Amino acid sequence: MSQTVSQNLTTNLATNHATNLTILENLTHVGVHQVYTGTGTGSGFLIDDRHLLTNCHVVEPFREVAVERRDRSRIHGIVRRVHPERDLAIVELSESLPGHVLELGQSDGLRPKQAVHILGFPVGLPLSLTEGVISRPSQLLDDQFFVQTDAAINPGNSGGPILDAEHRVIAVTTCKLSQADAVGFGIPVDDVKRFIDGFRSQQAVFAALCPACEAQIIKEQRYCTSCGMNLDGNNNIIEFFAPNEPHPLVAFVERSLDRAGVNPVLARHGENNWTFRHASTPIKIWCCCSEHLNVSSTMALISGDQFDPLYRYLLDGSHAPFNFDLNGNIVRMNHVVHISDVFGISEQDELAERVKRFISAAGQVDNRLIREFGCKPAPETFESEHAGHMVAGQIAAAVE
Amino acid sequence: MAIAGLVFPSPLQKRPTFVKQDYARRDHAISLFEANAPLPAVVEALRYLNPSAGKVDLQKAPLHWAQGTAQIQIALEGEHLSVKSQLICIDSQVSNPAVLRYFLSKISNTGQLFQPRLTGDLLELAFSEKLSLLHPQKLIEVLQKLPGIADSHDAWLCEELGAALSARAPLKALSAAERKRALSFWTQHWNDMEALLLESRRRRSMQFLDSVGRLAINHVRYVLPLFGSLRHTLNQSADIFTDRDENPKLRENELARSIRTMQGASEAQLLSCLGHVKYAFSPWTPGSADVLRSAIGNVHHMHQSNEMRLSGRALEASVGLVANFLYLLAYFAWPAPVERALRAAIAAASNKTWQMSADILWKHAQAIGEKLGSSSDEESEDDASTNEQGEHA
Repeated sequence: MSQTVSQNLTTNLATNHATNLTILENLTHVGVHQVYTGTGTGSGFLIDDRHLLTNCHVVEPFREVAVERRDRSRIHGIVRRVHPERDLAIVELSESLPGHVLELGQSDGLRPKQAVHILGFPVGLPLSLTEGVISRPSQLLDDQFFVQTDAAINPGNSGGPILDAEHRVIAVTTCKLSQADAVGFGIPVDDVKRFIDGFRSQQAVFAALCPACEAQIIKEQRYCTSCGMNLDGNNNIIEFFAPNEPHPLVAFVERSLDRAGVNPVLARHGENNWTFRHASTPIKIWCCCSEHLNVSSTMALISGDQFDPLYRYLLDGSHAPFNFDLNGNIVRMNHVVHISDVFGISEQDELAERVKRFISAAGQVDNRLIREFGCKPAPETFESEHAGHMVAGQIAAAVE
Repeated sequence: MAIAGLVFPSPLQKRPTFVKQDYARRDHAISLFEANAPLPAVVEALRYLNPSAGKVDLQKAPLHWAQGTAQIQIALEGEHLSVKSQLICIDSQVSNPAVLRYFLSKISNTGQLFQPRLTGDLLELAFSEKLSLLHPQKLIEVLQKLPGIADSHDAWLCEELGAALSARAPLKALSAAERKRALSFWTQHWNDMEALLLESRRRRSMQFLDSVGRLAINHVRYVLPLFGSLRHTLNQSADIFTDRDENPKLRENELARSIRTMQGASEAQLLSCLGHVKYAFSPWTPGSADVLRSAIGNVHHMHQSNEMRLSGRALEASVGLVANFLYLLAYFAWPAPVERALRAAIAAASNKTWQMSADILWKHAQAIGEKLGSSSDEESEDDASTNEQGEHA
């Protein structure tokens, strides 16, 4: 008897191991990508080579988002459909993304204890897989049905696919209970399929679906013309049509980026946080406190034998208003904008010009450090699938 | 128990004058800036920080302020205003990577308006901004933070890394009587800390380790006008041994190392780090009822101290309470009634048994919390004029 149990366990473990290996081996090619907005980041998966499905709460209230490729460059995405009540959205990509389009499964036939795999970008880290089982195939929560799972779900997983053992999408990750352990929820795939089918049969450039009757709302209106539901204050639908005025700080940064030739939409990395590359140099802009807006670029790794001349160069007063510091062995170039300046109207152009100068100088200085002082490229400047180095601030901002 | 009680001598350091911040003046500076009058805004911001500065005419001459051992120069340079404090001279013929790397990794920083800058052989902390972009808040922030950084690194850079000091404000030597008192305090204090560290190890209590660490640093800051390398070394260690988020073992080891280092300092080294200085504006934070309440009026803390003193743990209660009293005196400037009450409490607890000092401090803390914890802000204006005068320029 004990020998039989032992054998069964071994077989099951071997099967699970093989399944995981298949998914892990194809992780680079699977069509799951990270979505960036001005409020955070989330996950999404390709439903064809030009469209990504994600959660509505990942994109709201934005009509434009950024989607990251495996090489960490980003492309532009236009939000075409949102279903705020069911928490779904479809993003049209500015160019086709290579990647395996996952097959959509069925909600019928799901059973408790069935193995599930979740793909996504937890806390902004590179694409990761977690696994667990279906705790309840059809759990009622806030008047809607969800697939409940015990697989680990973290901020940043929202919008990613929940797969069955055959790698078919059976749900879309949406939320978890924060006061409980291992109680996560996915939107059943049948609802997802209906949403996608609806989108493919419709012509509207952008539409939000009415929470009550799922009629398309294509312009700002207080009541649904179909069922009469008051849309004001309901699921933030109005914000998709009449976006709130950006905070002056956000307006300043994005105007400065625009001036520097950097697409602000592609640079957004959560609230008051922007990350992008200029040439190979990573640059980030963030607010660390109520007083300062920091602009910083991680540059080269100090190396070679010219330390004294290198340090003298980095401390040279002629770099003002920019400065350099050492974070361990890595050189960083920094600039600070005081928040009080952002609210002064008259000289904003000059401040924006400084940000532009910083961005163009960063790449040049980085090259000079390598060429003249024998520094090496910093790990963060490598573009690769696994170059997911994030500082704490970025991780915090990445939480959706 | 190797130690029967603590002695709390009166401070050798001149006590700060409590000056209520004139926020209307700061707001006026901002109004002037917003009305496109940047230079008058600068002058008003300077007067906000240093009301006794006298006539300020930057167009005629730069302003030189002594802030501790830092000499601050505020000057107009064309359309720009610069704030600088010279730190060290670096011989361009001699390689000195350690000192340069120290500046790049410890003093340069993101989120800091001023930075270390090298001009020729001169390394200085510098900030420069076009007048039209110089919001008064920026100038105030720079002047409040830059001198403290300059003042806390100078002599240490010289002793530890062999840098040559440049344009530093001199320390006024202590009198013979002051020197004697300082040396006596220093020896007694670090011997006491050694004994208390042993008690902390015996008890294996994180709370007690925390109290001993705070007592070690706060008592020195309150009593001695300490500068130079000893202060720098002590502050660096205190950042670790008072850090509640740090590993307790590491904190304990750092405290032990710090005690040994301080005990090992020679008489000459200590005296070279002691002296009186002038401050253009107070580096002490004005104390408030909130600060008072959080340090000695906290209900949970008072309840815990009471429990300890009534249950045979008078040592823990006493050290915890006195560390809090000394914290309030070491870091804040207080209106006269609060200052008197705080000093009276530690004077009364001086040279007493642990039980007696715990009882005295607990009762004083209760009385101060009740009587002054809600009214120190309101009384401050009347008391400022009668307060003991510090050594402000």
